[in-house]
Amino acid sequence: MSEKFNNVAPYLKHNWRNLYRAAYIWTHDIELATKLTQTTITHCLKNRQRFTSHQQLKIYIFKFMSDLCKKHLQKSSLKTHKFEQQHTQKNKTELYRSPLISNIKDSFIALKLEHREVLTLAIYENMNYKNISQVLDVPIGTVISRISQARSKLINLMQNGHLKITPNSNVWPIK
Amino acid sequence: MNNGNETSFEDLNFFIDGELTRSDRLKMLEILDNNDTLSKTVNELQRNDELIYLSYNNIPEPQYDPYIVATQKHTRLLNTIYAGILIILSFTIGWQTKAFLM
Repeated sequence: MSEKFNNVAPYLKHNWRNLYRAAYIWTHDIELATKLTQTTITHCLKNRQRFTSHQQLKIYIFKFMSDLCKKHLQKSSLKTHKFEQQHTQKNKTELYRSPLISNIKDSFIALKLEHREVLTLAIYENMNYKNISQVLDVPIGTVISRISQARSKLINLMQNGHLKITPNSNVWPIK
Repeated sequence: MNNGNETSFEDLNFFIDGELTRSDRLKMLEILDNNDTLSKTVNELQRNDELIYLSYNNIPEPQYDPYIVATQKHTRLLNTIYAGILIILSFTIGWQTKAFLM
């Protein structure tokens, strides 16, 4: 019999920033990312009995938030999403001033949501393909092709430097 | 990993994502050692990953602490339930006591 897992609240307390970062990367909207993170935490706390391990909880929270994020973005009538202001006005940090960072960020934003999702989970959460497929509820083959397409598009966008979407643009496609 | 001689773009992704077995990883390292083009592509992929990691390492703060708000909401809900139970219990005890005294 598996041991009872009582660490849901401490886990969420220490890891909510990772969740928020993923939500922010997927939506580029501070308000929406905060709301998605809070809703996910509330949901997990309410259903804390269902979790048996950190790994299961981690997969669940990202899966829940990914579904929530898609629902929110699909509600947007034109399937477009406003850039959050910090992006259009350009972040004044040293990091953002680097042309390399600026270029990769613009290229990354130009990717489809499904591509940003897989790269976020692989790069930030260090998830393997199996876990990513569980989070996104797609076969491993789909994860492999999405990762491959995402990286290939990033290389093209970085090399061409001709982005269809500029940082001054107000809208960006999610599909 | 492909058993054939050709290394696909997906194989390179498996390599940088740590999805290869130890022996396949060694094979890939040997391939990369002898192929400058593939080696360059792997470097580029790893560099892009690193840049993505850096670019979103410094994102704007959330509007509020979502954990605190979520736990407060959760606690408020529990408190409401407890308060409801307490009111019902007090009413029942009061009613029973009144009935007993009469």
